Amino acid sequence: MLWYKAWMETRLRLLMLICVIIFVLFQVYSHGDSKLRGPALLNALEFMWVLSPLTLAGSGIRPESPFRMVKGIQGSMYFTLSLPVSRLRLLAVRSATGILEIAALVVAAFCLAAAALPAVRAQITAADGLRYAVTILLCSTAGFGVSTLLATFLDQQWQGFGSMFVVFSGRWLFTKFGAQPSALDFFRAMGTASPLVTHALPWTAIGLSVAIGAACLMAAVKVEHVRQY
Amino acid sequence: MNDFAIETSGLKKSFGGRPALDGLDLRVPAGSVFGFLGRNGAGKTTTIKLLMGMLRADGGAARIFGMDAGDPARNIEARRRIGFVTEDKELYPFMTVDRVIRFTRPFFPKWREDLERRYLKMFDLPPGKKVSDLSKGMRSKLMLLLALCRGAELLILDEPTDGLDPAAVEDVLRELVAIAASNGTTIFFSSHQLAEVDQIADSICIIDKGRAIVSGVLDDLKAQYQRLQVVLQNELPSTVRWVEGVEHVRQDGRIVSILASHNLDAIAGQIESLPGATMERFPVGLKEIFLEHVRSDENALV
Repeated sequence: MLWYKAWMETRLRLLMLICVIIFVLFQVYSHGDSKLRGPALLNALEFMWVLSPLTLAGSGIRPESPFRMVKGIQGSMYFTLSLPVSRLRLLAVRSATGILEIAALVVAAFCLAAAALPAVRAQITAADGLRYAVTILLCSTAGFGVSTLLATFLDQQWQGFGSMFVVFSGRWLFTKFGAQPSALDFFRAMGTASPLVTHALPWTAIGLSVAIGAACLMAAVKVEHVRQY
Repeated sequence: MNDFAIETSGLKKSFGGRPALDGLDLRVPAGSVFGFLGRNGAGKTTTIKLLMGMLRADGGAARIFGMDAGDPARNIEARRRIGFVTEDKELYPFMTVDRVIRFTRPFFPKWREDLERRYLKMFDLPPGKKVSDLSKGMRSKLMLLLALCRGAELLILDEPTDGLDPAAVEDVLRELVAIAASNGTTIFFSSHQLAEVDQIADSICIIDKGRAIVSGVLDDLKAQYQRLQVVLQNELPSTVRWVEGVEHVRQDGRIVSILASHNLDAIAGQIESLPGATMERFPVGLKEIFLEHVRSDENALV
């Protein structure tokens, strides 16, 4: 039933992200086939895949609602904490739900693109598509981890701002101080240096993202373990 | 089998250096209906949060069914046997009444479907209505349903009747007594409604500034406590040192009002030794015991 709660808390955000995907695909459709590997589209995709994990992450304990002003949301965490389940399980179910939803978004994006845009079917091979999907899933773990960690001690609205600040600061640091192009840049690996362009998996970027994501999730577990409500 | 469903000893908790609990000793007998009383900020909710594993104690120990409440794994085990009503009565606003019941049910293997049906009807809860659209009273009723249907051995209820109309309060109190009587469920509830506590509690604890100041079986306390109304010939000498058992003394001219908790014969002897003193004894109710202990009174001599 914790899965159900996590789904109820995130379904509107997932729907909102699907709308963003449809909007991006509509832009591609309206600009024609030549834009398929253009930097504008790839940057838009990167932004979307950076935004998705920040939107779908949560702690599973602190109150969540798509709308902040929903009556009675703040105190619901005491009800959650009174259930005979560990905080680790609450966090794990919530995180797994978020990751599954990101995976579902990637699949939805590909299915929609393949169905609606003949150019996608013509220009992007199945192997590149698969590589891109794997890259998105693994390169979004850093942002997901950061956002989950922040969700353990920040209210929902501050979690959103905080995780965007941290992640986009990281993006800026890569651009400002990293070698260009940097093999570690997991942001660009979801956009202009993605497998759609390079036809290869960006292992170094994936490794860094997974390492950051895992470290943040472990820190989130530690925080939840000692957190007092 | 533990004699006490809840036991705390020297329990301490501070927030920002300000003590909320200052060595709380509490013993809730298994099977009792236990009223937990105190003013706002006395430490009632902090105690409940410590018992439920939401907070960690700075010192002392808290045990539920003999298990360490501060041990997360043991606390989960204990929570499986506890029905809980939170102070704010807030639930997931995005779920309907029916959904929140279906959400809660699988966590508790001893869930009482017969009670679920009964309370849905008794509390007139609309299954299809969203929690966010319920009034506070209806949310309280839903919270109570979710606590009472767990088949719990211990109910921890933080202001359970808050927001309920008088008829619903009566229904809830009657149900609590019935559950305690039929299943041997321990009921530990905090309340500001002294009449409710007086009506159903068999034991109480009054907490003030994080410490238990009165604790025991309610009938025994009522039998022990007496108010002694003394009329003196002259003003009370300031040098009087009262014997043990005098809890509170207030003076208004030549009339002295004494709240005694025990040792009544010795206190009466001391009063009779005062020149020209006449004394009357009055029984004391829970309200008076509570107010005399927690109220700051500038006319108080003790």
